Amino acid sequence: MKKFLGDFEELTLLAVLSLGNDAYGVSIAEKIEEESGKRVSIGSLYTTLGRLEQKGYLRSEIGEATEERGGRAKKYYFLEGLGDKVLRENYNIKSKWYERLVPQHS
Amino acid sequence: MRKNYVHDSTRDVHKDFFSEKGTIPHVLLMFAIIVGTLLAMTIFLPLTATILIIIETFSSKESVDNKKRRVKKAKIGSLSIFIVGLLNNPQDREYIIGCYKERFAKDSKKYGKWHARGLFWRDVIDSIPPGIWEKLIKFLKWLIFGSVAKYIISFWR
Repeated sequence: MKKFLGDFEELTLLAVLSLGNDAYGVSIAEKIEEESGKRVSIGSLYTTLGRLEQKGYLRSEIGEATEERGGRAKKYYFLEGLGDKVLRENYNIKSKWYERLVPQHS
Repeated sequence: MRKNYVHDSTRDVHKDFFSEKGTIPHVLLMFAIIVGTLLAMTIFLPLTATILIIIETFSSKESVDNKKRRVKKAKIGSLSIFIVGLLNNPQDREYIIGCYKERFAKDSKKYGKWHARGLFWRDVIDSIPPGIWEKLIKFLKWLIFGSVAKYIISFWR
């Protein structure tokens, strides 16, 4: 059965994918902000990241602590195979639909 | 002399509903807990947080090094960190607070301290609803599970 992603979930997965090995809270929020132009709150981002990790789309690793983080560690996120599959499925469904609809409108 | 007893069914029902010992039935108690939790989560908690934010914002002092006449780095107050920690998942608390601090430092360099503080609190307030709803749903799930389990146990006894 195909699984659907929410808009914010999709943006988060895309940000993790594009950041590669440097995907953690602040960098993901900045990437989404850069691409969509909307500011993302850290709390809601972590709620989504936790949910995606629970679904098996992402995995996390504890990273290094820095001075500007007040000595607190980073949590890096990486895209899992299942996450990649769901992202592709989502893209295929949307792109096929848009291809069919957009020429009719224009 | 023989007394003439008349059976009053409504009185019996009333007696069953609120027994003589004064205990409230489970359905009413559960309803009161759910309504109370909803009220606390949606009204009292955000209201208290807002009041605390206002107090902290107006009472915070800039730490100035008098010898060098230099304003030290702007930092998030401990009360703010406490509120952030309270609203978020305990497992991720450490990383979330770290991210808030890092973002605040970046924002204060980019926009200045006051703007960064405003952005920080906007972030915190924005993240209240999903966090609270997630906790509330988890709580309600456990409440339903507990009451079903209790019912099954009482049925077997």
